[in-house]
Amino acid sequence: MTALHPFTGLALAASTVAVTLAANRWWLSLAVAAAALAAAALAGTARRLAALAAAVLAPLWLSQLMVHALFDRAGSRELFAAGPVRLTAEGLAAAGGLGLRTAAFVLVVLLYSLTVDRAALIRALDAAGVPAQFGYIVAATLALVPATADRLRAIGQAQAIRGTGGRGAAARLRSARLRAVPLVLASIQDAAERSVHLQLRGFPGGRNRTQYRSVAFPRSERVLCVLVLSAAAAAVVFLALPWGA
Amino acid sequence: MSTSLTLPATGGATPLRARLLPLLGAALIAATYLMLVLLQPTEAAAGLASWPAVTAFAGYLAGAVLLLAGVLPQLPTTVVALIPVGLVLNIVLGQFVGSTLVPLYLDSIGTVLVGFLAGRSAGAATGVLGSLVWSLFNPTVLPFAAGAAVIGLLAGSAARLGALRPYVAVVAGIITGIVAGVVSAPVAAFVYGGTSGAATGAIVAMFRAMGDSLLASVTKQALISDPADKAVAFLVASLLVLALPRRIRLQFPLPARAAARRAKA
Repeated sequence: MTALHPFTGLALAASTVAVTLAANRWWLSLAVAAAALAAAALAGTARRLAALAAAVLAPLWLSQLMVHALFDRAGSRELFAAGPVRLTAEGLAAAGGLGLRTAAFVLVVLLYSLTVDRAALIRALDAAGVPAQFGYIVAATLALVPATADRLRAIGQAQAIRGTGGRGAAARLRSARLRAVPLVLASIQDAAERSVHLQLRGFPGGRNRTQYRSVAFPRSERVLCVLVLSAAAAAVVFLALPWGA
Repeated sequence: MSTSLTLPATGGATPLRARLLPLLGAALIAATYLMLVLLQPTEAAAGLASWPAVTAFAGYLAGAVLLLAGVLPQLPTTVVALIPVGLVLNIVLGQFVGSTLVPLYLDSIGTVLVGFLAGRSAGAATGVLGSLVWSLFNPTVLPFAAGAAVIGLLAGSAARLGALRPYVAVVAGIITGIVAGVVSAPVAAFVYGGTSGAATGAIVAMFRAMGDSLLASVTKQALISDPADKAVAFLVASLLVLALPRRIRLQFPLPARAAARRAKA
């Protein structure tokens, strides 16, 4: 998706997710999930996509299995029963369908997230008239996550040298407080200083600000976005209504 | 409206769009919730109907985005610079608490902190933005944007009513947890068919085994988990605000307003 304009990739991902959610068919969810993995393999990010998706999906699948399959009271085709546990074919089918639907959604959005040029996405949002505050917040958050994690690690090391830590709930809580308070105070002080620099540079700058590097949005991709989104909207309305499903 | 130290002021009164869009967003979220609760089909409990999932996902997300579109351009630059800090604290402290084996997720401390310092609008915007940005790494949080906005909104309201005192913060957190849990339950029930965690899934499964509907089971589970989590988040955020040096605290709207009120009194 890196060769496409960020909005084209977003339109394709959003349409795919919407149609998969509305159709709610296991075979479509499976096909979409497989297609996302294949696209990730072509882009060279299959391993990272699989690892990220597994971390997100594993607790969800376990939860869906427990809620729908392990204690099912409604299903007639019983596969296993012991105490309160009653595993049925209908429950397994419901949990499997929900699991595949969620997997398709997670894989498609993560594929977009891993392959999109995030700087280009923020520039495109800015050029599209989205308030400059939005672009700033997204860019600043993505830059601050690793910096804050590093700062937390440094504070932890400094506190360890001072002798904090130990076993037991009280020691853990004290250790957490001694790491969290300096982190939050320093982060908020930095934010207060950054706001002065932003204001001195005229942020957010009004409607007539220009871009040093703009992202080209070819006419063909604009038409493709409109077509894809219109088709997806029509499909969602048809599939989600009772007579379509 | 964002003010600049270098550019002339562009306008006085809040534009109509800024008043209308948050109201429309809140109305859409309320309408989506009512529709899902009143019309919940029995087959949705088995994961067979798709319209509740589409309605919950689209209605809540669209409502949250409308809310954000109305609120964001009106925030002062000090608050815009603070919001990324709130979002990062949600992520980093959430992960840190997870690594200490404390049985809570505490992934909304940053949102509550921004609500305490900058008010309802900033809190709600932080909640929505947190879901949008975090969905780049964990897409399952995306439809919970409306619930996150409710947490930030109520944190700002609670701060106005004196929730910066720790014991009031705990009560405000419990109330916020109840409201946020009820608002978020349809997403967990109809989009994911339960919850996103194994431990909470076990509680939902227990209620399902007792004969409750899926939405009722998820709502009951949320009413058990969320108030405790938000009580701790509110308490921690209030202690952090109190630990801030006065010089920094007074740069943000709510503490500055409270100090001005005290000075006048």
